[in-house]
Amino acid sequence: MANALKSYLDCVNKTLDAALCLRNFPSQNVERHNKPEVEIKGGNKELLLNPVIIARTENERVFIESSVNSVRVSIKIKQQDELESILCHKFTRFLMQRSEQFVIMRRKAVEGYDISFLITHAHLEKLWKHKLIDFIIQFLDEIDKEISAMKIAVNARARVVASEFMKQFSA
Amino acid sequence: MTNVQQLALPIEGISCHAWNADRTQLAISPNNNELHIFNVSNGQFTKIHVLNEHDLLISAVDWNPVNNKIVTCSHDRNAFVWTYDSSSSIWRPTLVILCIDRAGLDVKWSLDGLRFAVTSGSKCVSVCSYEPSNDWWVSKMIKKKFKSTVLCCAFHPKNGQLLATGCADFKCRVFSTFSADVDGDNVDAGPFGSPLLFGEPYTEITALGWVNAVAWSPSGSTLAFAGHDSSIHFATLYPEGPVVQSVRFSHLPLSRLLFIGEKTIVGAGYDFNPMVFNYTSRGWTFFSFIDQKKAIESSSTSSGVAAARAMFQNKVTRGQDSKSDADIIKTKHESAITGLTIASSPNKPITKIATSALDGRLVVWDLPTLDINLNKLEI
Repeated sequence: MANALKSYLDCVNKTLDAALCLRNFPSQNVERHNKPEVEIKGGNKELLLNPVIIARTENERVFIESSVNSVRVSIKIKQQDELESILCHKFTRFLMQRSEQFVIMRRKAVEGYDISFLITHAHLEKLWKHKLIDFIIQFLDEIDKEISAMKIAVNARARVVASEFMKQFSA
Repeated sequence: MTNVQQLALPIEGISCHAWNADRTQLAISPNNNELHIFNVSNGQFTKIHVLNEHDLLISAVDWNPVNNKIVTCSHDRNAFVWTYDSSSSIWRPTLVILCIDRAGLDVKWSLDGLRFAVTSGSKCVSVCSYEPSNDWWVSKMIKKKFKSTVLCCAFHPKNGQLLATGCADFKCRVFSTFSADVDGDNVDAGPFGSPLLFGEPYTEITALGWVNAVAWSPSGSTLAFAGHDSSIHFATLYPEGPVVQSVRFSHLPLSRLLFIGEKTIVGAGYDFNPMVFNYTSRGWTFFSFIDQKKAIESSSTSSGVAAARAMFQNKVTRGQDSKSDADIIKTKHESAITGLTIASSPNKPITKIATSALDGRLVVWDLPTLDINLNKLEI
């Protein structure tokens, strides 16, 4: 169990290490522009690399789209029931609303995924690459624990509230 | 030993660098629109000029040893040629009529200093020569064949009429830059036999990734180019077509190449560590890294109290349970290498190379004192 997670995270680590070889690339479509090529719809195909999906199970995957100056990493978090689904949605919405604080986070997740990061060459010039990758790996590692912890907390609170409510009906 | 200089803030980084002819001055751009010129003596670097003419990031700089002129190109679609005015001790910019409508990415002088080439995002290369009547540099465009941004270029070391280019459409091409105004009647097609007109391609070689760097060997007999698919290709050029050997390696891609001998090439890139390839009887192969990562002597914290204290210290400082080796960057550079040049005086055997990176550092590597077995190489 622990080994499967470790090899999944190792795989994501190595793929990100290769994908994050970015360079400062000025736009070839608009003069004096410098925009992330991965975000341009219908952009130049030769500047995009083949996107990679690393899936731990059918419901837990990482989608890495890379280009010459930017990389988009999208994560689909494991959601086993409705309660986890709601918790995940609220949690990622909380994070994405504060995406400026996270610097590399995208305000909207890519279709079909729960959260997305957009890393450009400018980020790599200011931040250490290995620390950035560590951050994403740690995120993947702990998001499951966070959601489980929240679920337990919700259930515990519901139990406490229900027993307090029922006390008024008992003798 | 290696000389590490922090010439720009780590937040800025150095985007390109170039030395003057006798390696007493260095021009760098700290990843913005300024060009800084340093005086180098006894390993000390002192900033003497700051040149501010460009509007956007300076993407490449080249300093010609013959006419002592500096050429810079920038993302603002301009290039300038700087000439040193010794009477007033300042560098004066000269206008270059570049005619590109996208950013300039790379610029190189030909060895004789009569022309330079600017590659650009407008899928063309501008080859410029001096027009004395108006004191400016005019350009002729090479537009054929390019399907995407041209990333890098290099003139043949002996012959300013051959220009190798690397493009984001995965191909390396060699063009003719023969111009009657500059060359007159000396037509020289190098290894290709029959000469072609300006802008005509002599040959085209495909790689499996963007061609990040291109370099000629000192005699001009081998052309090397690096692809983004972690490969480096060596081509020997013949009139019928090139003979190419491709070397694929298991490290991150290279973004700069430099020949330090006929049979030895140094490549630097996203691994933060320059790599040496050499030519043996079995062909071109990877030889070694230049920055040998010495095992970090971690303080022995295996016994009781000291180990416990170290663990709590780590929890406080990094939120981790144990100090992992992966945290420490073991190479001299902490960011991708953007410039690779010869740092020892020209016309002498090459003993020093310099690398600049996006961490703002310039490192001068003294090859004979490093741990690599130089006797195996033929420099």
